[in-house]
Amino acid sequence: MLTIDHIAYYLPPAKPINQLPLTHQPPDTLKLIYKKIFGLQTVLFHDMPVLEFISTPVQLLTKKVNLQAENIQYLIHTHTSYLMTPFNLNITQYIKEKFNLGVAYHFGMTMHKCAAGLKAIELLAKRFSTTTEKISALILTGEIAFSPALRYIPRTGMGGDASTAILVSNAGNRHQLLGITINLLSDYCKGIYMTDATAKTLDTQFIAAMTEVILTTVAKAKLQLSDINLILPHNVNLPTWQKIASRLHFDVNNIVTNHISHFGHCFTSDGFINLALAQKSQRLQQGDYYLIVTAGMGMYLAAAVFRA
Amino acid sequence: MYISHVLIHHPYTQSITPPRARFLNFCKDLFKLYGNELNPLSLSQGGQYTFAELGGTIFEKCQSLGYLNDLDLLISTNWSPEFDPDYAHWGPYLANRFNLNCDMFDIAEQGIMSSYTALHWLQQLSLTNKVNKAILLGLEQTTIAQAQSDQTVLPSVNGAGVLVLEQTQPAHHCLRVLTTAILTPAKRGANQTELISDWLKTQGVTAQVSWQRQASLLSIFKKLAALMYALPTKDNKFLLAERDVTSQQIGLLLLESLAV
Repeated sequence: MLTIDHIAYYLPPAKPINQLPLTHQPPDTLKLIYKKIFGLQTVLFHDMPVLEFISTPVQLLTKKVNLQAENIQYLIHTHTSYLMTPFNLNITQYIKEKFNLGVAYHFGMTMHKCAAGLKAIELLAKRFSTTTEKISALILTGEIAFSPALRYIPRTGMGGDASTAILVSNAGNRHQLLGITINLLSDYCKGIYMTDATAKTLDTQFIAAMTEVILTTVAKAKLQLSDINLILPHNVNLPTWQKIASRLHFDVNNIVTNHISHFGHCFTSDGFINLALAQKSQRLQQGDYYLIVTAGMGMYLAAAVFRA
Repeated sequence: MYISHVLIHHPYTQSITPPRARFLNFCKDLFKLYGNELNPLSLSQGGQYTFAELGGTIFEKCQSLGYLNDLDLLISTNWSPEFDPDYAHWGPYLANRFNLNCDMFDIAEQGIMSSYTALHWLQQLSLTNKVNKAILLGLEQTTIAQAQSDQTVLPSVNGAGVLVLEQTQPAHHCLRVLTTAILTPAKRGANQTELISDWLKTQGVTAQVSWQRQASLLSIFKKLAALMYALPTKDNKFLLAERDVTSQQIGLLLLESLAV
C-alpha cells in the first residue's frame, strides 16, 4: 500500500493580480469576474531562480528525514508546462546530484498536466504492490508560470507558483492510499487551445463528470461520501467547488477552498499543499478520510482517497 | 515480456516555416526566466515536428496492423520537447483519435534513458498481471529552442518508434526482455565497460561489451528492429547498452532472441 510519509512545500509571497506583469493579467473586461466571482485576489509569485525554487522543498524535507536512508528508487518531477527548462537542463538530475540521492530512475511526467502528481501516485502504488521490499519514491511538484499562457487561464483561474516534495513509500503508517481514479474526458485534448464552443461544452459536462470520479473513487475505497472528512481540491476557482459540493450534497465548508483567493492554481502542487496546510491547521486529524481532487488539461479528472 | 513487433517512422523532410507567435513568445519567456535570451533562429532549424503529428502517423500504421487492439498500457517517451504543439499533450490526442481506453503515462526529461526507464516500468507493471499487451512509443524531433551561447548536444533525427510488448510469447520470431537497468557511474571518466561487465556478471551472463554514445532516443528502436528482422536462426542473448550524453547514465537491456 502506498503511504504519503512526508511533505515539504515552498510558497513564495503572494502578489495582487493587478500588480502582475500586464500580459499576465486577465483582460480588463474580465478582472471583476475573476475577483468577485472566481474569488481570486492574489497569486503566489516566484522570487528565486527555478532550480532553487524546485529544490527548496527538498531541502526542507531533509530537515525531517534522512533521504539517503530511505531507499528512494524513483525521483519524479510532475509538471504541467511542456517546457520547463532550456534543453538538457534536467531538473531531476540536478536534484539527484544536489542531494546525493542514489536513484537510477529520475524523470519528468507531464501528460496528465495538473493531474500528473496523482498519476505518479497511482503509478507508484502499482509498483509498490508488486514487492514486499521497503521502497520509497520522491515526487516533486511545481513550476513557475513564466508566460501568460501559464499564468492566465481563460474562463478558469490564475496560475500560482509553488513547489512541493512528497516522500511516499510502501511502509508508512499514515496517509494510506485507499483508492484512486484518473479518467480521460474525451474530445478536450486541445487544452488551452480549445475553441470557445468546445469550452462551453466542457463546462456543461465538467461538474457531473468530476462528481462521478469522486464517487467512483470513494466506492473503490469501500467508503461512503459521508465518511469523507475533507476534500483537498485544486485551487482553480470557488464557483466550481460550490457547484461540486452542491451536486454531491457535501458540506462546502469541508472542502479546503480558503487558499484559492490567495495562492491561485499552483498546477500539480495544489492538493499536496492543501494536505500539508490542513494538517498544520489541524483540520485533518489522524484516522480522517480525505480526498485529493484535481483536473488536468487534456482533459483528465482525478481523485484519490487517503486515510490520515 | 516479449517484444513482438518493432516499428519506426521517419517523416519526409518538410519545409521550414516561422514559428507561431504564441510558441516564439513562450520560448522567449522561458529563456528570460533563466536570465538568458532565446536565439529565435534556433526555432527555424531542424524538423519542426509536433509529437501529435509523429505519433499520429506511426499509430495509423499500428492500427492497420492491429497493434492497438486490446492494448492495456501505453508509455510514451521523449528526449527533445515537441515543436509548437496544438494539443495539451499528444497522449490524450492519440487516445481520442485512436479510441484508446488503456492506461497511459509519459516518461520525459531523462534524455535517451527515458526508454530504458519505460522498459523498467513495463517489467514492473507486468508483475501486477494487468498488463498483457503494451506499447512503448518513442518520439523525437530536432527543432530545439536554444540561446545563442548553447553548446549542448542535440537530437539527430526526427521520428517515432513503437515497441509492442506482450505477456504471452507470440508464434513468430520475437525478443524476450530478460532484464533492464540504468547504471550511474560514480564519477565522470569511470571505466564504464568494466561497470557493464560487472553488471552482466550479476545477471549470470558473460559477453563482449561494445557500445557507443548515442544522441538519439530512437537508436534503441533501430537496434531492436535490426535484431527482430535480421537475426537470428537460433536462440541468442543480446545486450543493448547506451550512454546518455548529458547524464552519463548507461541504459542496459538484456534480451533473448527466440526463433520459431
